[in-house]
Amino acid sequence: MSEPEGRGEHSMSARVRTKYTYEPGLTLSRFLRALGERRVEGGRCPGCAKVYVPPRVRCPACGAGPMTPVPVGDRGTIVSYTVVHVPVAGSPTKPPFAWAWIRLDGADVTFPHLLGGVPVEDIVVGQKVRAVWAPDDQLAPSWESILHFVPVPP
Amino acid sequence: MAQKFEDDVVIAGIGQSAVGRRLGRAPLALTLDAITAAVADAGLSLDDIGGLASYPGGGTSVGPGFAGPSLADVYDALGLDVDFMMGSFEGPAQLGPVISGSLAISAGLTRHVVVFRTVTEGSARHAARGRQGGAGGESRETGRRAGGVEGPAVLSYALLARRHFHEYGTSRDQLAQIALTARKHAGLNPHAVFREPLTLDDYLSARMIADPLCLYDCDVHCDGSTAVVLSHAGYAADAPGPVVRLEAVGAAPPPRSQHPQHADLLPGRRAARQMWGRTDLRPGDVDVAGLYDGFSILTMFWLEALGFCGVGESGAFVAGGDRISLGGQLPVNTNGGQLSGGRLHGLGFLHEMCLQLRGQAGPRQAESARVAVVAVGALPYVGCLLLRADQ
Repeated sequence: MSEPEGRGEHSMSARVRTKYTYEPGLTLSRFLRALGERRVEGGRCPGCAKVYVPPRVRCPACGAGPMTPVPVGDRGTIVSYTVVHVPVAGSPTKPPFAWAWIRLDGADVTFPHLLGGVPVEDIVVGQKVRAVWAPDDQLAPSWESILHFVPVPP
Repeated sequence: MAQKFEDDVVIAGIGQSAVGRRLGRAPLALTLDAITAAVADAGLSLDDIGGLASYPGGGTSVGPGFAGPSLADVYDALGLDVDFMMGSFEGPAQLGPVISGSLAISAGLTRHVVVFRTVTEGSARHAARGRQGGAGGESRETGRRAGGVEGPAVLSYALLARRHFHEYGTSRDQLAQIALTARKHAGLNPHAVFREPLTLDDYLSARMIADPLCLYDCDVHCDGSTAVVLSHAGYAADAPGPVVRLEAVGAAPPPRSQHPQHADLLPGRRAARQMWGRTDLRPGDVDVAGLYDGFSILTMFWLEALGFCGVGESGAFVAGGDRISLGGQLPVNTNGGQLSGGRLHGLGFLHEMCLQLRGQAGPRQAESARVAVVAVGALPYVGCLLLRADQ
């Protein structure tokens, strides 16, 4: 099967540089600052008592709020995972890399993060994991304060 | 079943532009081809068209080549004079304009509404890849997603697919049947993008994108436009050809679709429940189906949500492929779907199901196709339609 190559296509390359300030809001700011101190802080819904990591202003399940800050450990369980073989726009992580939904112990929802320290063929759903924190000089109010999660013995 | 607005509406015409990986034609030009074909097919002239509806509508940009022309541009180009117009990204996915247009007809705003969906993702993503200096020189198929322009959608669906595998024991051999059946059907569709035979070995040895989803689990970007003409049922007797009856719609979104934090393996369940609640027909009455396959796993989710099999049983349902192939119990995506036919994005399924119900699907005609379902979308936007052949 042949295909027309570039016929009628027009494209322009332009470099655009934009300065911006990201303000995540009170709830997420508190969560991110805690990550910068090697702490995970979830939010407990005052209505249904579900614990969200990251916390929300209001509960996506029952609508109640505001959530009460609650400390959560840095250990949890792999709920699902994938080994990604394509570059992901905006991500500095080079493929292949393992990406997982992790539910921290004491939390009721998952969030996605990187998996490391394990051959990809050994990853299983249900595996217990713990966070590997960035060294002191790289800690920041950011998800990147957690480098990745690694399996821990059951 | 009580009187319902669906009874007031028929699909009187369908039309499609050329379809291909990279046609090098403007979105508006493709759109006008599709619309003029659909209007002629309905036996109408542009002067008869009283409404225009589309997904996603002007000003919406999800990615290069996604949006198509704005309704205003189409309106101007065709010199239309309409009483109803809408374009919306948020709603029952790409079937939103079909459902809204039908409601407008039933409510008496207008008698004939044109619905279109246009994509030029094939051309636009190719151009974007060149700009980003991504991997080049790969084969036509393997190169299509290189270059880092894909975004994170495939990651989310890979995580959902893995979860389905884990909870229900679904296997890659089973998931493969969605892609293999689509390719088999595409071989019977001269307009399909990929028509070469595909084997299970090809599938299992294909490049992994985000496991368990490989290259063949991801739909193929293309250029093309699809249009349908919705008409008041009173027009059916005057239409030159067979019309397609609208039996029931499902427009309800998934509940609290906090996509990244909850693994929802049945995003279409509320839309499906609504649709079955508006008809006396049952899943066993459906002869042929067009089920969204932006990623193959989504077709599995729809099979379960629509009740063609139990929750978690889609792997067993599609195993071996015979049941969802032409000649089987429920032929699925008879045009090759978006996996092999090309990502015409939702309305391609509707076009194909209309051809089937009109008995005009040629070598890929499903036997005695009287009832069809079209279901599109994923989290958080879904929609479905139940269609009937005319008497």
